[in-house]
Amino acid sequence: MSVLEIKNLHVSVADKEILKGLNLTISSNETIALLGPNGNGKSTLLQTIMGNPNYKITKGQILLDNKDITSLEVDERSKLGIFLGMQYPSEVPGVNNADFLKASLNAHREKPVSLFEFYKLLNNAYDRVSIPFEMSNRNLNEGFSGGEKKKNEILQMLILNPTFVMLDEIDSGLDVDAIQIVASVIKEKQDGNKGFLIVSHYARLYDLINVDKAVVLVNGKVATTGGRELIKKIDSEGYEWIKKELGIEIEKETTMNQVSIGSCATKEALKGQK
Amino acid sequence: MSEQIISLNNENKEIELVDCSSLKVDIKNGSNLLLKIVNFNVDENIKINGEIGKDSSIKVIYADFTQDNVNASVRFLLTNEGAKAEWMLATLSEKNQNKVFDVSFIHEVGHTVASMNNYGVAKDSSKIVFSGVNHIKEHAKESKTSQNAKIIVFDKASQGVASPILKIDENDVSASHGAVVGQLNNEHMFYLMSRGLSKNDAKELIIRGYLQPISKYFSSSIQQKIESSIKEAL
Repeated sequence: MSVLEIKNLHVSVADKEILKGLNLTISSNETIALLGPNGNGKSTLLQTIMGNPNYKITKGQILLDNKDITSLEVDERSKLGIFLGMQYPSEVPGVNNADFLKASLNAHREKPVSLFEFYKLLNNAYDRVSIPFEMSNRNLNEGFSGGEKKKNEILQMLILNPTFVMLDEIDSGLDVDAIQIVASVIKEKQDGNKGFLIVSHYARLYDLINVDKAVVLVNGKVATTGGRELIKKIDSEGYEWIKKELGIEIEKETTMNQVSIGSCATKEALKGQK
Repeated sequence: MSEQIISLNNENKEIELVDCSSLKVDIKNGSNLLLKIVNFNVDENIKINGEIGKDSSIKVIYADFTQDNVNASVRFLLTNEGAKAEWMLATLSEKNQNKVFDVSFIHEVGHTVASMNNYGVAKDSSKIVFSGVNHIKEHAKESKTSQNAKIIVFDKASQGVASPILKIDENDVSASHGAVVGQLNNEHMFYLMSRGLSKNDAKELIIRGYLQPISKYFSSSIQQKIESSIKEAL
């Protein structure tokens, strides 16, 4: 069994501290549901564990089986069995999906995969997530619908077979059928040899899979942990009770909305300020 | 090198040229030409001029893998109704090279179509310039013209300049142009690396994404040469 340990983690993004001393341990046989209001550090935690260079660790450690991986390169972490299903998978123009998958798979192996074995693996994976096999010939995520992008993340998980799977809002943008498919793949992989760290805003996904623990992040720290009852409570009551019951004031974002440059950018940026 | 001449009258042809620096094309009366040019080792001054006549079309695939500066001037005139021109260019510049491609299409009459796509990868303090003018002349009604340029710049010392110009003297036309010059996208790199690809592997996939699509148009021996040029550059 493997253990991933986050110790007193402080992380800043663009000089703003998001994680403020977070502690969390996850074993390769358990599933943790990661909850919390928007902007409280869920995605930041996942991105930091994966090693995104935009997220600066100012203090603390990430340990995998007692080995410090805090400053390892992103690809090294992947090779150690860490996987992140992204909330917004990038569209990479010109990079063929199948070429990319093959290169990824080979990066995790000593000997390159044979064409036959790769084709079989690919075919099964496409079948499992119900995306037409022809899409393997398209450019990586380019022109994919929101749902197809998310399924493509799950497909990559199937092909790379990681030990620790982090999924960031994998269910957003999925229709009901697609959620069922994604959940059934996750459930099938919850075979006692994988750890899952799953971020979702909806109880629906958690209802369809096994959950061992629910962890609530507030203000960049773990505010409370529990079981399914915690997911249910948040699903019906939101996060207002945290202040009353735990005495934690949820810090609100006060900055302007971020918008892309366009003719109405100023108007958009000021929206919601009132 | 002496000037090569391709002249077609009511016929279809597919021509592959290697290391071509001076070329004149004249096609007319319902001719169709697929012209494939690949340069590995050629004079730095390149001149390509062409005239596309009535109901004739040309598709030019131009791959530049020279190890030297390039100063290319390409100019096609669409001289009669129904003339069509399609242009696709891929170039790789490295080692302080300066590569300039000036590609222009002139719509002299109406009902003519031109589309231009230029792709470049600039690395090791080199420079790529895509310039040129698509000109729709007065009375060239219902003509269509488009220009696209994409340059990826691999290091801070390299430069990419894309300045597609449209000159339009007639109202009843359709025209578009776009240019993207950018550094290697960090989010793309993170995404590819998060699947286990090393920095170099990830870069290689992205470079290939820019340069390889053009390869498929060429014969297999040329494809191999292009492949080894890309490999050498990585």
